Amino acid sequence: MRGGRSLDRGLTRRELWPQYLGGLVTEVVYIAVLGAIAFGVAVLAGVVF
Amino acid sequence: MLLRPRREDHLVIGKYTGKIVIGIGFLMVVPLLTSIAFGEWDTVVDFVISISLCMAFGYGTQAVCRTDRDLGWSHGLVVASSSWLVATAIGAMPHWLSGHMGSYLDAMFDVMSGYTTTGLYLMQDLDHIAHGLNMWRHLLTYAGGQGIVVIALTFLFKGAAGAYTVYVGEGKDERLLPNVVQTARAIWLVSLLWLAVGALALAITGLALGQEPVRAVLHGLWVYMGAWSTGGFAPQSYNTFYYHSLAYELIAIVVMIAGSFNFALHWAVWTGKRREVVRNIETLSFAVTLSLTVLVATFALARAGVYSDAMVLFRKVFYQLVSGHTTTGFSTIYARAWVTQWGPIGLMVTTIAMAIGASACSTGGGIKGIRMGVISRAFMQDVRRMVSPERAMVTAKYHHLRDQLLDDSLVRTTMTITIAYLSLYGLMAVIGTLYGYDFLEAAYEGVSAASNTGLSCGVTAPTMPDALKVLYIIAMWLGRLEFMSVFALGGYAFAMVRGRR
Amino acid sequence: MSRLVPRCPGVRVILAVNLLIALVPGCAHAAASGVAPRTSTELVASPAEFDGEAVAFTGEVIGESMERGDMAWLHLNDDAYRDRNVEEGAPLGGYNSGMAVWIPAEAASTVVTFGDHAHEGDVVRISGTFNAACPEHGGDMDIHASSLEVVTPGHRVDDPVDPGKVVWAIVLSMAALVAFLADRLRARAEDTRGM
Repeated sequence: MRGGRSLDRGLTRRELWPQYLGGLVTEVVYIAVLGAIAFGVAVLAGVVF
Repeated sequence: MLLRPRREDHLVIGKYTGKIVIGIGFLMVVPLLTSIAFGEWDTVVDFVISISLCMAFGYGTQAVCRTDRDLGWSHGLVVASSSWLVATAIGAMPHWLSGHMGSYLDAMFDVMSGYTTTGLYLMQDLDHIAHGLNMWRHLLTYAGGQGIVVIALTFLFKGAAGAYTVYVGEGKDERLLPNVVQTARAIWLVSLLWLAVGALALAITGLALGQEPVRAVLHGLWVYMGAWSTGGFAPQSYNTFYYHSLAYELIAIVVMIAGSFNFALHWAVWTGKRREVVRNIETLSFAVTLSLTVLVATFALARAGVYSDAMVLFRKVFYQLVSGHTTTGFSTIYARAWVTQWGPIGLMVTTIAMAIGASACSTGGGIKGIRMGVISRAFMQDVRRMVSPERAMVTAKYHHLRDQLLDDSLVRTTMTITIAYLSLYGLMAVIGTLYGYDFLEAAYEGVSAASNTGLSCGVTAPTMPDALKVLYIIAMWLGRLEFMSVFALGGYAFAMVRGRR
Repeated sequence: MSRLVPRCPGVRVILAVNLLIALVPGCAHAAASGVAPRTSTELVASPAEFDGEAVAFTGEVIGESMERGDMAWLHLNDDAYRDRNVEEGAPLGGYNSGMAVWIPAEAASTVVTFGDHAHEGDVVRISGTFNAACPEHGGDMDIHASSLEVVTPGHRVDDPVDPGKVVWAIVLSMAALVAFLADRLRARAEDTRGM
C-alpha cells in the first residue's frame, strides 16, 4: 500500500482532471440521448393513442 | 477427483474473511458518528455492540488463523462468497437492535439486499428510523456496489497476490490497470468524482425543492448512494416519489445509468477514449434494450390511458424502466401501482428489463449487457453459418474496450451463466407461484431479487413466508456474485466431506 | 309520548341514523361536508375508481413540508405508526403507508411537528381531490387539498438507552479488545521468532 503512493499521485495528477471531467460529461451526453429517444417515443405514443 | 481442503486452506479462508469483517466494523464507524452527531444514543449503543462484534470476530480470526500462505484461485472465490455471508449475519446487528425488524431473518434480508445492491426491504416504520441507521442502510449499498472486496483491497490486503481472485469472485473481472490494487484505486477515483458531482447536485436540488438544509444534504448523499450503487434504498418509505420533482428524477436517472456502466468503460472514456461510449457492446446493447422496453411500456400505458400526456408518460415510463434496467430499484409509483396501473404488459416488460440488467463489472446485476451482446452476435453468426456456410468461416468480432474475438469458448461460458440466471429467474417465479402469489407478480418480484434490482409490486413484505425470505436472500447472493464464487463455496464444503485426502 | 320524537317512523329512523353518524368522530365532519374518508391502502388498490373524487384523508405528517412557491408538499402516513412510533413502543405492524398531499403553503405551515426518529408528527385531516396520476405533477398519485385540520398534535419521542444493551456493549468491547491484543501479541511473537 505504501509503495503505491507514487502511482496514486500519478492517477490524481492535476493535468488529468479536465480529461476526467470531459469523460463524465461524455457519459451524461450519452444518457441524455437515451432520454431524448424515450421522450420521442412518448410523444409518438401520445399521437397514436 | 476433488482434493480435501487441508488445515492451511481453512486458515487462509478464515484469515481473509476475518479481514473483510474488520473492514465492515470500520465501515460502521460512519453511522456511529452520525448517530452521535444527532444525539441518537440508543442507536449509538447499537453500533458499539455491532462494531465490537465485528472486531472480536475479525481480530479473533486473525489471531487464530495464522498462516503465511497466500490466496490461491479457489480460496479467493470461497472468501468472496463466505465473507458476504458472514458480513450479512454480522451487519444485521444494527438493524435488529433498532427494533424495526420483525426477526433476525428480516434483518439479514435487508442487509443482504443492501450489500447486493438489491433494494428490497423488510424494515418496518422506515419513516421513523434514526439517521444513524439510515446512514448504515445506504452505506451498505454503496459498499456493496463498490465491492466489499474492492474496499478491502484498497485498505487491508496489502498487495496479496491472490487478491485478484477475490476480486473476480465478486463478479468484477476487468483489469483497468496492470495491478489489481491500482485497479481498485481507479475504481475509487471514478466513484468519488461522480459522488462529489452527483450528491452535490441532489443536495442543491433538494434545498431548492423546499427541504430543510440538513435533510437536503443527508437525502442528497443517500439518494446518490442508492442511485450510483444501483441499490435502490431511499431514506423515506415513499422512495424517490417523495421529492415530486422532475429535476431530482433526472439527476437520479443520470446517476443510475452512470452507476450501471462497466468501470472499465468509465476508465476508458475518462482516459481519452471517449468514443468507447458509442462503440462498446454493452452501451449499445443497453441503448437497444432500454429503448425497446421503453417503447413497449410507453405504448401499453398510452393505450390504457393511465397517464395524461407525453411529458407525464415520459417521466413515469423512463424513470421506472431506467430504474429496472440498471437494476437500481428506485420508483416514483407505489408498489401496488405496478399491478393496478401498469398492468400485465407493464409488469412483463419491466421484468424483461430487470432480467437483462446492467453492464458487467459495475454495481448492477442481471444477465448483463455484454452477455446479451455476445449472445445476439453469436446467434447472428450461427444463422449465417447455417444459411451460407461457405461464406461464414471468418470468426465474428465484437468491441469491448478493444476488438475481441467472438470465439466458441467465450460464447459457451456466456451461455452457461446466462442459463444459470434464467434458471434462477424461472425457479423464483415458480416457487413464488407455489406459495400462492400471482404468477406475473411472482416472476416480477423473483427476477427483481435475482437480478438485484429491488423494484417491488407488493410480494416482498414482512408477512411473506420465511422460506420465501430465505429463497430471496439466496437469490440475491447468487445473482450478485454471478454464481461462480457461490458454487466454489459449495464445492469447498463438499470437498471437506467427500474430497480425497 | 314526547312530542320531541316525531311520530313518523321513517323520520325517526333518519334521525336515529344521523345521531349515530354525528357520534362517530371524524365521520361527523366528513359526513357533514359529504366527503368520504379514505385510507391510503384503498386509494392505491383502486386508483381508477377514486380518480378525480373528493376524499378526506387523515394521517401523521412525516418528514417535512416542502414549500414550492405558495403551495407545499406534505406526506401523511395512515399506517400502524400514526399515533406512536416504534421507539415509543408501538408494536410492529407492517410498512409505512400514506399519501402525498399538495396544499397551500399557508395551511401547511400550521403543522408544527413532523414525524421522524425523534418526533411523532401532528395527525392532521385534509380533504381534497384525489388524482390517480396527477397531470400537474408528472403523473404522481396525490391529493390536492385546500385546507388542513390538526386532529392530534405531535410530540417529541425519546428513545431511551436500553441498560441491557449497554451491558452487552461493554462486554463485547472488551472481547474485541482482547481479540485485538491477541492478534498483536501473536504477530509480535512471530516477528521475534524471526519469520
